[in-house]
Amino acid sequence: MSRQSMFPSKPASDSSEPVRPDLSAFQPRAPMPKVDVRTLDAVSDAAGFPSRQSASERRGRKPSGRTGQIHPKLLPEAAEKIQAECTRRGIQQGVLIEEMLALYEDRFGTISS
Amino acid sequence: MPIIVFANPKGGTGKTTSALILATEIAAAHSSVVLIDADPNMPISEWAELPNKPANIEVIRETNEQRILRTIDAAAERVPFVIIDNEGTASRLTTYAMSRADLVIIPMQGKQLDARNAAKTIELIETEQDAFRRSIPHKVLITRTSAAIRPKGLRALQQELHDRGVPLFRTELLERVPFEAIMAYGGGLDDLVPGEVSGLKAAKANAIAYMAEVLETLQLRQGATAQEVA
Repeated sequence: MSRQSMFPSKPASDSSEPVRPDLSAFQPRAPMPKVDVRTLDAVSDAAGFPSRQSASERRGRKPSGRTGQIHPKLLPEAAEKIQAECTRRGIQQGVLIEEMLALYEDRFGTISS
Repeated sequence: MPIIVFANPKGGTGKTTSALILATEIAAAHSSVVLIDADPNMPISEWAELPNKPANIEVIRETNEQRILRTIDAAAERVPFVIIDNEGTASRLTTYAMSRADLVIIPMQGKQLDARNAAKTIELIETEQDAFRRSIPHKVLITRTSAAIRPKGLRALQQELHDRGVPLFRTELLERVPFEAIMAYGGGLDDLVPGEVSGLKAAKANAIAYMAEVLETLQLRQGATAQEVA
């Protein structure tokens, strides 16, 4: 039985052609442990390899876009309920007020600003 | 399995060319490669759009600091070889890529400015090694040397690197027309037609010797890691 060449695409005429190695021992790897990115950032900055991304591209909370402000005075019970609900859900009061507004508009129609 | 990072914060040292030669040679030896183009100038991505890109090379453009680690990890779980070509600037992307590296290759021409930036890369590697208590194997690769002429300055520089204990590839990547041709016309050295490109055979021998030394370095690293574990 003839043994098939490892490199069938190579021209057989040129025997002095360098031979490429067998790479079959190299296989995909298992998942690697996570690296501490904050330490990496500190190392990088200290070595003079800073971030080249703009501030908006960098890691961190994205701006919510909530720049409007209102300052309502509520009955204490209502204020406490709003605060308790926001704490329970881990949201800002503005988010809850926006949800209330959406329900109000569902019921009474869109409010023109 | 191996993640190989090309880094030197100076442009024009031969990072992209040496990354591409390694990737195409690995592909020609019938293994699979993900080539991550972390250079915003996208030289590898542009090469990938040219004809003859080997099917076993996947090019991923990734210049986002938040995603690069996930991109590298996902690629390493899919294919045996991951190669990352970094931008010729001191950037955090390089630090991130190095944190995953089995080998950092630092290409440089035989010039003082290239050497200074190679030294800066080695300083970063040493700081990262200390911070994470992990060895990051690295080697300087001299690129674009002449087969015929060995300038005195290059000899002095190599001696200096040797004296300082900087790991250095025995193989140099020579200034060869075929290496430029694959950047310009796409594909790998096997796609070039003998007779149309001068020095093809010598370029292939050079590329294979370079790949062999990369593999030798990786295997030595694997052996050292196995000993550390034992």
